Parts: sequence; structure tokens; C-alpha cells
Amino acid sequence: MHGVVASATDSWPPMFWDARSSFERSRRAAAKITRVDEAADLVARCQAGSADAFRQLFRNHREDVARLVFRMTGNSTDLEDLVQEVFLQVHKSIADFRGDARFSTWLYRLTVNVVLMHRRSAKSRPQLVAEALAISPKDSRPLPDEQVARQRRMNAFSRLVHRLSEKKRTVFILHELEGLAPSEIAKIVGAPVLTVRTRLFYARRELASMLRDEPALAGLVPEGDGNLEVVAPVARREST
Amino acid sequence: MKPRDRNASALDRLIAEARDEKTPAVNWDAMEAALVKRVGETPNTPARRRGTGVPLLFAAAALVLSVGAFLLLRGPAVHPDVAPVGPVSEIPTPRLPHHIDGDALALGAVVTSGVDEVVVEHRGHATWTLSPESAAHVESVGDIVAVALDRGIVTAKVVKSPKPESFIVRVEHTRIAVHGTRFRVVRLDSSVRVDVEEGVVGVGPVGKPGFDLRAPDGATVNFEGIRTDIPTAAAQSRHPSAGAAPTISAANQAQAHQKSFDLAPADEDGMPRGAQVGIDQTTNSVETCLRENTVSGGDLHVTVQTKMTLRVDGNGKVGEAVFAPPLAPNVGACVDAALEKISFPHSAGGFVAYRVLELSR
Repeated sequence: MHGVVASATDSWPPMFWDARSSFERSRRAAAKITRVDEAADLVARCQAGSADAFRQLFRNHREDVARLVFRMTGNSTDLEDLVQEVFLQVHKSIADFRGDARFSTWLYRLTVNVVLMHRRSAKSRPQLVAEALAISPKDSRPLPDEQVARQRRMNAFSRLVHRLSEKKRTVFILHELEGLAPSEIAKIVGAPVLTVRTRLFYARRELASMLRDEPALAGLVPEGDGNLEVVAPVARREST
Repeated sequence: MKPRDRNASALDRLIAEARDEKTPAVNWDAMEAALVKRVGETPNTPARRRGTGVPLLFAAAALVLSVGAFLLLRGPAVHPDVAPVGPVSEIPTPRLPHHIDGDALALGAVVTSGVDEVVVEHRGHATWTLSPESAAHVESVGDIVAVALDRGIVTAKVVKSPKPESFIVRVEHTRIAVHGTRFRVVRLDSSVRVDVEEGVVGVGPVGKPGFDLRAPDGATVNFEGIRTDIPTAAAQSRHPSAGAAPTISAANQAQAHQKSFDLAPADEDGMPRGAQVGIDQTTNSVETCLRENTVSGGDLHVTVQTKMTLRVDGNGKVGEAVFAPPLAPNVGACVDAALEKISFPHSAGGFVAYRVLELSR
């Protein structure tokens, strides 16, 4: 019975390893399907007006929303207000979610829209990005030098990111920091995939060229030749 | 060979560091409680067990009191200060003022008017007014504002712009694209009435060439963008000769003078005249990008054969370029950047072109 796998030892014949790994794979696949169904079920219950479902939805996604809001705003001043605003909009608009896209994509789009509208309405306010990020220690003990240097780097990087145009900054954050594919970003921002990829290309190029503007980052770019990396597609060798 | 930018390597290191940055701590319990309160619910509280004596009377009284307190303390289902935003959220009819900042609208936002009209202003760009009992939703924001009229009447005033199309109204499969003009679109039961008060608008089916309508003319089209009325002689006499400069495209200008109003494509692809120049530029860009981003030389040659599907929008910019099989990521990124700089002739609805490219080096 290959279900009885007491311990992983090299003495087991290969076929038991194969059976076990396929068993694990099918279990993981079943677990994944179950999780996806649970998510759809939660949304459906929320649409039906279940308060408990809404609370669970909030608990499931609050960290993701907060992380994206923090990355898009570059500061923690309005973080809680904006996260709450996002979920208020979720509550108001959940009935309109038709399930033709993933819920996470829909939630990302909502979050991006809330942050962008907040920025537009706050244009007259002083630029907050220049302030230090809210990564401050609770106690008054001095931080290790490396941690201080890292905070300075991240503050400087955040300043550069927020010098990008709104459209480039949004796709840059969604792709490079959130790890979303251009096709999904296209649905979130409502632009063609080509446009998303172009914005990403220009965002990276612009940021790379701005590194020396920030003293905390200029040291990251080595002088001289440095390392060269060849970039080439798969090519076939032809005989001459 | 193309070396990778040293700055790009430093950027990648920063990105990796930024990915690991922790989000500031949030008091989630407090936020959840505030959220629940704002959406109009009370948190669950556990019931206390009581003895079986007097308790029933007190329990009943407590229940009545708590229900009463709940009804008194419950706030509105929707916070009154929250401005709805989101892909398909609906903006309710504002009481006063009936004025909406168009730049604050999100994609998909629905605007409805009740007994009073609603004015939506995109500062420095366009102002559109929904007549009473009308509804529209936003399909595009930014440089090109596009609105779909779902019900009723919209009147638009558009700031003159060097861009060929800066404001668009869509009704089903009919598309009205304007720049620097004032016009009115009325959605009827099975047709669309367009009247131009100032300037020129292009009217036609989505994705196909249409016709120009100059002030003070008007036209009735069906939901497929086909004109169903016959222009008056006065209107016809106001139209310039075929040699006059087109506002949207040469194809549209020619069609405006046809006595029959059946729309004909410019060529088999529906491409406007002069589009081949842009396609040649695109092909050259692909070749250049392949040359600059591939390794070759010696006995190593690179050959790429790919089918290119190019979709060009009405404003002459490339909306989408798909290659099958796809190009290598770095070549593709180079091509994307090059396509941003290529302009095609303007057309009412854009066009699609297909080419098989065989490139080698």
C-alpha cells in the first residue's frame, strides 16, 4: 500500500517515491481547487449580504491591500484610511462583480482606483513621499548601521519611483513589486498589454537612469566596466 | 552583442530589496470594527447565560431594549461622505451641485441623472452634460476621454486639441469621435441622433470608417453606425469638395460626399490610405530590434519567422501588436518601445493589419 509511507529513507524503492509524490501532487491540487472554490463561495455569500462573509473577505485580503496601498503611496500616513476606503468600496460594489475575472484582479483594480483618486484629490497637499517611510523602531535604541543604510536606500528608491508618471509608476509597482503579469495588469489598469509592457520598459529605463540622482543609491552603480551580461534569444546554429 | 546596463542590475537589486519591505503595522481589529460599523452592522456579542427564574421577563425586556438601541444607533448603509469609485460602481445623482469632476471618475464609473441634468467636467479637455433621466459610463480617461451613452441625451463641449480624437461617445456599435467641437448625441429606441453645433465630428461604426459631420449639420444613424437619414441640400452644399483636407481620414472625407450612405472600406483590410508607410516602419523596427538584441556572427545565424497582427486605433497609434510565435522578451520590449513612436493616418475606427515577417541576421 503506497499510502503507508512511514519515513523518507533512501531504502524505499523508486516506485514508492513516485507513488508518494503523485499522491502529494494530487492532494495539493485538490487543496488548491478547494481553496479556489472557497474563495468563490465567500464572494457569493458576500454578494448575498452575509456580514460574516464580508468580514472573512476582509481578513483574507487586508494584508494584500495594505501592501499595495503602502507601495503606491510611499508612506503610511493615509494607509489605514485608504485600506478602509478600499473595503468600503468592496462592500458597495461586490454585487457588481460578475466573476469574469479573478476576484484578486478585481480587488487590485479597486485598490488602484482608490489610491489614484486619493492622489488626485490631494494634489494640493505637500508631497509626502519625501518624508521618511514609517519604518521606525518602537524603541529609542539606535539601529544597526546596515538597517539605517537600508532604510535610506528604500526611502531614496521610493522617491525615485514616485517621480515616475502615474501610469508608469502604477504598472511598475504592480509588476516589479507585486509580481503581476502584464496581462493581468492590463485588466487592472484598463490598457492594452502592449501599452503595459511599453510603460514598464520606460519605467525601468527611467529609474535606472535616475539612480545617480540619489546619493544613497549612487554607490550601487559600480564605476568602470563592471560585469557584462549578454542578452540574447534562443538562436540556432547554422553550418556555414 | 548588447551588454546589460549596469544601472539595470543595480535597479534589480533595489527592486528585490523593496519586495521584502514590510508594510507598517495596522490595528486590524480596530479597522474591522470601524468597517463593520460603517457598513451598518453590529459585531457579534456572546449571549450570557442566566438562571431559569425571573430571567425570562428580564431577557425579554433586554431583547426589546437592545433591538431598540440597535435601531437607534445604526448608521446609514452607505457612509454619506464616501465617493463611490471602482470598476462598476454607480455614482448616484448628486443633489447639489450637479457637477462632477470628470478627472476623479474611474474607469467603468456610471453617471446617472435624475430630474436635473448632470455636468461632468474634465478640466481643460471636455465637458459633457447628461440631460435629465440619462445615464452613461466612462470607458476611457486620460488623453482620450470615452463615454458610452446608455440612456438619454449627452451634450458635449470639447476643447480644441491637436490630437485627432480626444473625446468619444459610443452608443452600442456607433462611435462619435470629436475634437474641438460642440455636439449633441441622443439615444433613441433603435437609433442615434447626432447634431453638431460647432466643429466637426466623425460618425461611424466601431472599428470601421465612418463619415464626417460638420456644424450645423445633424445625422441619424442606427446602432450599427449606418446613416439612415438623407442630408438636406443645404447641408450638402456646405461640404467642401473632395480635395479638401480631411478631418479624420481621406476615406471618411470621400464618403461624406457620397449620395448613397453605405459605408465602404478603404481597401481589403479597411486600412486608410498611407497606412503602408507605418507598416513598413513597423517592419523595419522589428528588424532593427532583432539585430540589436540577438547574438550572431561566425557560424551562428538567427532567423525569425513570425505572423504580426497589428491593431491601430483611430488616433493613428498602435493599440496592440501580437506576434505568433512571440518574439524574445528583450526583442519584444524593444519593439514595443519603437511602436510607441510610429504614427498611422487617422481613421474613424482604426484598422487591423496582418503580415508574415521573415527576419534573419
